[in-house]
Amino acid sequence: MTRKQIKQVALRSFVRNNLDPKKVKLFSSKMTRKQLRDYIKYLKFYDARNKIIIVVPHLDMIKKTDLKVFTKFYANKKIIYQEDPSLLLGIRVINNDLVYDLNLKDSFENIRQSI
Amino acid sequence: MINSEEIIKQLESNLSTFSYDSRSKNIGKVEKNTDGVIVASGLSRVSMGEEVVFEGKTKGVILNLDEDSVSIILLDLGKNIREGDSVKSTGRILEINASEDLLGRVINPLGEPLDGKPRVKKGKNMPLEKIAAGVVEREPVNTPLKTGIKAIDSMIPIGRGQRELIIGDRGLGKTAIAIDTIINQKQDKSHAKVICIYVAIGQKQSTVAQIINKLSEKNALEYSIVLNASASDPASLQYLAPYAGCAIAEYFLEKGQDVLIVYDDLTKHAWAYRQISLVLRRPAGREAYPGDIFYLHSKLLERAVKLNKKNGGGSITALPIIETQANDISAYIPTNVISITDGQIYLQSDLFNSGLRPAINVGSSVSRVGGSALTPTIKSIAGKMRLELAQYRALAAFAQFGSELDPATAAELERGKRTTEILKQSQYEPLSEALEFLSIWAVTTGHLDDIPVDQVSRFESEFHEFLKMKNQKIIDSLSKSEKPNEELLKQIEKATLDFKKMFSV
Repeated sequence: MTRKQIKQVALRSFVRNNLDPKKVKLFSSKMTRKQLRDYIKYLKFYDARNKIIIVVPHLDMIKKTDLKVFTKFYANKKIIYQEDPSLLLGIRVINNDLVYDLNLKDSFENIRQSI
Repeated sequence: MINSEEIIKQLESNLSTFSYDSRSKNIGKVEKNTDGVIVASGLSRVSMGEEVVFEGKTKGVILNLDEDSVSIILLDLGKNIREGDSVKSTGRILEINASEDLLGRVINPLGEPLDGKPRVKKGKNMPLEKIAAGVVEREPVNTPLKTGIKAIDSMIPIGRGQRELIIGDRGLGKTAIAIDTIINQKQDKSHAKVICIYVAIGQKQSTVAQIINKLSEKNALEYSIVLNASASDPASLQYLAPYAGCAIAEYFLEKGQDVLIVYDDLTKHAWAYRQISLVLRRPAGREAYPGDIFYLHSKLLERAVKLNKKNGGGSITALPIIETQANDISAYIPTNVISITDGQIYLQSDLFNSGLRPAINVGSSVSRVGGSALTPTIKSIAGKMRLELAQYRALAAFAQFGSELDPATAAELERGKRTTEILKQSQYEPLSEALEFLSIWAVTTGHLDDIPVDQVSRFESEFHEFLKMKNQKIIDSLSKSEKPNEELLKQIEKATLDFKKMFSV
């Protein structure tokens, strides 16, 4: 199996943004060690691509209206909410390898760096 | 140490420009670390040549963009980088802080001081990679850049904005020519001041220390910047060093100043790039160099320029150095750089061993554009000397057969010997244009014909001393870079005859 084919297999292991355990079991049983390593790498890659992580200082700060906005904005993605008190105030959105920061911790960090 | 008032002032200024927009960061993960080259996944939005920062504040530069990963070269040793560490894009291409405060300093290609003095903070960030000035902004080379070396200034003249290669085996005095040229910029008062940048690539720290000491001793460090990426530095720094030097040169160019930049040497630069390319698994070509090795040097040397008046009139003169193996100038890198530059100064080991120093092979050396930058003073005598030397070389080849020579041929041979002798010059003793003229004039007019060959050097130095003491007016007149008139030539003739009466063989 070429790397391109492994990539295709990894993509097809997902059903509606979720990994299908049956498919994964089937594909992985037919792979060599090296292929399996690449397969895991691509699974991780596609899983991260399908996910949006929203980090807030406290989960109870998210209102119902906010939830609607996020769901509408990231319609085809699985949204995961996480808590991180160190953000102090604001939000952090992690979309695969892109991180959007609009929080007090990041602002302080930027000020610190500019000094 | 920054005080509280300055911090508050800084915070206030930040407050006035504070942006409430979210800023996106592109984050990746380290997959592999092989010999200073990191392969990272993620970072889908980075661009080629962009600076990235690792978790431990180590910096790197993107050098390969693959389908699922990027390759990053580290800008320091980066021993603490591990698999799984995060790496962040900065959105900046690699830059170096340049300002007048860098004069007299020794720095590395990232602008970090190597001389124990504090880092230069104020200044302008100049990009390391930049497209060279176009044809509309340029003008032909028309101003000389004096090296203070008789053989070069008279026969292989260098103009401001020219790229003149210094090529030869190891230990023949390539660096010495470059250092002499830097030292000589102090005494060239007839043209605008030249800022000198010496870029040491892959050299021993001890060699660089000696050069710095010599420049300091000759008061040349005050108008020079030394940029060092030594043999112990990572290949990435050695690869970036000439571009960093050129970026600093461009800062002064923008201000309309003339800059001389020495790349010592581009052979080691090519080695560093070959090392990086092989680790990056780029296809290897001739002598295992990557396919873009020619472009690597052409894009660098193309940044040497003479701008027209409309664009400030500044210039960057480049003196790249190439080290050959066993005088082989037909190797890959030497032929590449010879074809890029506007001429070459070729140093040969047999000339060096026969005592001719600087060991310049005048026959193989050439300056393609420097001729138009010759001053009228030197122009008036250089042609005659070049012709006499060429005739001498042709005759000397025949004279080896041992046949009897007619008096005219014998005289030409004797003159040629003295001309060759007068072109010898000690290291770190560059001569002013006036003294260069006087030496060459004396030999081409036959005033040295009755001086034994082994006394020529002593005659020359004593003649210079005599003129400095008794005939300073002649030196002053010649320093104006104008063609000497009949009256001046008569004065020189008289002074020469007066000196010859005193000179005892």
